[in-house]
Amino acid sequence: METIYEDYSPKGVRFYYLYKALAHPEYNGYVQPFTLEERLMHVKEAQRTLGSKFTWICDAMSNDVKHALGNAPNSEFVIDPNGVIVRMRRWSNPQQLRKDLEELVGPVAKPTQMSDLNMKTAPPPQVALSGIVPRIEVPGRMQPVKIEPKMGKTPFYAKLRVEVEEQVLRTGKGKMYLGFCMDPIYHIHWNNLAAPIRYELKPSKGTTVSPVSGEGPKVKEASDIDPREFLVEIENGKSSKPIELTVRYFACNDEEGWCIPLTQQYTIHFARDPDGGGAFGRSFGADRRDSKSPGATNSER
Amino acid sequence: MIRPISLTAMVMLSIAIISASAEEDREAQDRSPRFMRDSDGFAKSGLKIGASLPDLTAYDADGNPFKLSQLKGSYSAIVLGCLT
Repeated sequence: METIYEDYSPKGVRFYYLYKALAHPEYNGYVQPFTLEERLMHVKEAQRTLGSKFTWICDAMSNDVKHALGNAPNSEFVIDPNGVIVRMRRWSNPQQLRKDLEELVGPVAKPTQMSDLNMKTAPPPQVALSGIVPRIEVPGRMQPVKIEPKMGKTPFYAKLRVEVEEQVLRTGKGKMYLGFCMDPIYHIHWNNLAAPIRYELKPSKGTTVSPVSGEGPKVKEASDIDPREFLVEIENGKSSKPIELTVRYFACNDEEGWCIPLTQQYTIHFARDPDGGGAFGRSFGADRRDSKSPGATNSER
Repeated sequence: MIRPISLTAMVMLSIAIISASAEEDREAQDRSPRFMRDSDGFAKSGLKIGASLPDLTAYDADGNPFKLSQLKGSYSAIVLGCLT
């Protein structure tokens, strides 16, 4: 893509990446943002890690643009000077895009090659150890459901992701996954010298959850960034009957020199989140985790 | 283990942008039957060649409103994506 930018930007073609909801949360540790401000932090992170010269624009948290442009993870459009769609495809294809622009704008005498570029890319942030807390096994394919964080002044440094077995949405019965991931855009890690994370669930009348509370493992290393995960049994879960969740944890930022206790709350709805994306190892039923977790290595900043 | 995918998805895989094995695996998952089903929204979106972009508002990297209708005056290439 960057080679096409180099060749056609001087010819007046404008190039945009439209940043949208994550297709694969937790890959490389990134999690769905809760606010526009956080999504814009993702854009800055994308600029840093990818080194692209494209102009970045960002979808609203309602995901209106993603919905209107077909809901595909990596679609591509060419727009003419009148704002009319002249090319569109479900999957971005640089080779085809180059052919499109050759037809529409004209060929380039000497196309730029990747080896001609000196792109500055950077790895995702990793502020503490990872790969030391075992991941839990889920029973089968899980679907993300909608959650509402109860926003306050403090960001949700550990972000909740809730998924359920497909049968829960059909019958109200089955397993619910609760995953708390440290958000890497805040350069935060768990404080394992303090009490581990603890959640408490308060279901609506008529819905049963078990267990109603849980605590994360005690980790001997002082800090890490691994997810804290739990499985809960649901009975009589209904879309009209949300569940309230309260979570307590300690988070630290070594760069800014603080550790704080946090108590945060969510409302969990039994309704599929069409913009929740799919986490490897759970949404696709494949036994695959974040391939960027190197295991028990000393990778602190 | 990667779930078997349909012939149509296999054809699409052949034109995927691949640079490393982790990226290959990620895109293979995206072409699984479930993801293809979800991505059918693209075919059903009503968008077509010759139509104008929807007049929606996004944001620039600084958080300022950016209307898609601003994309006039020259050819523009738009790629949807995200960090993961």
